[in-house]
Amino acid sequence: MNQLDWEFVIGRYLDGIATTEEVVALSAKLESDEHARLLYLRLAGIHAKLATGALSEPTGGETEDQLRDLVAQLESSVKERNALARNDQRWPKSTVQRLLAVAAGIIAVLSAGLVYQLIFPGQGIQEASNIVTHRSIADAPIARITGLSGSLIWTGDRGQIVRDIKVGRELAGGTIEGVAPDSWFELQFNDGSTVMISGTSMLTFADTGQKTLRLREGTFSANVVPQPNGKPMLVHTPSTVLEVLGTQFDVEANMASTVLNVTEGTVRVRRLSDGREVDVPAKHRVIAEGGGDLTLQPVSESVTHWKSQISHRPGNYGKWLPASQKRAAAQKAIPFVVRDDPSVTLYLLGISVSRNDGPPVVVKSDSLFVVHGRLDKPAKIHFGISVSDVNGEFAGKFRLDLKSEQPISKPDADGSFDVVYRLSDFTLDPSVSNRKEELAVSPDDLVLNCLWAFTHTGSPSGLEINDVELISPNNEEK
Amino acid sequence: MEAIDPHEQFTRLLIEHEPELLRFILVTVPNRADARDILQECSVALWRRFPDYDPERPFVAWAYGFARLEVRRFLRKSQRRTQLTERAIDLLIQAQQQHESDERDHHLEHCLKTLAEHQRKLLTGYYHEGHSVKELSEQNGPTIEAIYKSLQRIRGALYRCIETRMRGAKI
Repeated sequence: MNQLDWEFVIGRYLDGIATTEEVVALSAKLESDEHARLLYLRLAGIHAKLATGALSEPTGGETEDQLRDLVAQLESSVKERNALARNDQRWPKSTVQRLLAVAAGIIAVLSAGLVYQLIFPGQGIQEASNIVTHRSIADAPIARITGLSGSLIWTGDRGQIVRDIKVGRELAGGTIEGVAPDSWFELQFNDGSTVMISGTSMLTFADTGQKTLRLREGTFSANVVPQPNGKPMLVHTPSTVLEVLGTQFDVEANMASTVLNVTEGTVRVRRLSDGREVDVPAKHRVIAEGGGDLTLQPVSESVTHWKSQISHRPGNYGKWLPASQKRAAAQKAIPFVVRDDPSVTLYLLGISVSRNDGPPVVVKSDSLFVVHGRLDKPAKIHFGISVSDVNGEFAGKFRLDLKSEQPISKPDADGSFDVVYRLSDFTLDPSVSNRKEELAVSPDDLVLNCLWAFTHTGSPSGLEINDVELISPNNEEK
Repeated sequence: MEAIDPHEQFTRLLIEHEPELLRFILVTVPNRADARDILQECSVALWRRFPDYDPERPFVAWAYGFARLEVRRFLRKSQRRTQLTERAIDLLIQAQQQHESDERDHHLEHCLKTLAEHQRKLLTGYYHEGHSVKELSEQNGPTIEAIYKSLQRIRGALYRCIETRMRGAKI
């Protein structure tokens, strides 16, 4: 049987009309074939979603009032059972009948389960207890994942590599790595301090009475509650060590430099190359690189105009092509294999908006992205941005191509294309839609962190970006 | 600080997560009446073990452990001939834990809008209004077999629409 045949059999099983022979064959297939299981789960997932409210309000479950009544009944029945147990009595028949009668008035199907549980109270519970108390990751969690999206890899402190990480998972330390320009990860320590990485960043974290983090590269922000006396949070970057007692700040680091912006409180920076230290107060920044000055700079007002500097600095994802006599510098898309579907290869590039160069770049409702690049063939370019609020906290990822069909970009005779994207067409990326209440409705007035572009044409598209300019016609700086 | 009443806390959590739990059960027990029975059993077990629940942990992850047990218990009890084997169900449950659904749900909403009016009407009658296929046949004319085939085709179309959007949408 091919996939369509299995689709047919699974559909019949979901509708309850499969024959015994079909169910036997389907069972054997599911037991032996991982792809068949995935197909089943996706079709059954559609069935389950339709049955629980995809078409309008839920029909599968109970109403809120019914559930409240149910809980009240459960509470009183369990109290009654406990009282009887203390008196070493069996359940009187009349009690069961009364429970059945009351429950039937609320939801008829409740009664059978309730009676079963009351008569056989121990069954199954021990097994459930074992499941919920089992810790598969580590023995002593120090933090919990509170938000994530995009492709991430977590490496545990015993070298365990996990790609399928989920919100709510407790971690005992390790290294988190964002592997795509739109990756984002937020972690909350047990004391409530939160740290976050975005884009292609790598952060190692531990807490042995003193929080110690190492940002190997990328962008990191934190909101740190007051730390114990003498045990500040330590953040190591390739060129500095930051001591944090309780504050809000963001850091951008690579092998050569570290940029620190402090929003609240004070952070002490020590440069590793010469041991020089400086205390960075709120609303100030410092750039530590090489042997230059380690002087404080007030955080400047934001700007609404920005131009990429691809000729001077590589983007944060893709292959950087320096300028030559024949052509301008470019960031070239490279293959990116989609984790959930390895048969899909995108051609992806990313460009970060570095804080190294100056003030935060704020996008406005009238902002336009003017993109100049090259393509080997006509292709639809999927374009997205990541934004944060002014204190560095992640505010969302937005995509251009979801609200309306993205037009196909056609290169001219020499392979170049120019395209303009309007901010008003950007909508929240579905990969963060589960946190949409906490994120911005639109990217207006938020700080631009990075942008990315990809094609999905089934073969290399030759996508390169030479430069991107953000302009806001109504807010041009004087 | 005033402690939260466990009764109220449990009620809130159950109200919030009941649709997710029911969806979780429906994947391995597609019959809706059976799935609701299992959900009730699960609610009883959850309430009785609620004193052990650690509010720092996600409720739904905790509840899935109970739902899995109730599904297994139900299947062992029912012993129907037209039922997947216990091993197949176990493998599906394992795979289900790794199955991300949020983004697929988003795409499903979009894909539903692309259906023709008569297709949407059929889904509404079957899933939302809870009519049996026999009732739908009596109301609308097509044979029972034709309605089952239409349901299959619509779900297949939704599946392909979601897959296409997933491929184009994800980094």
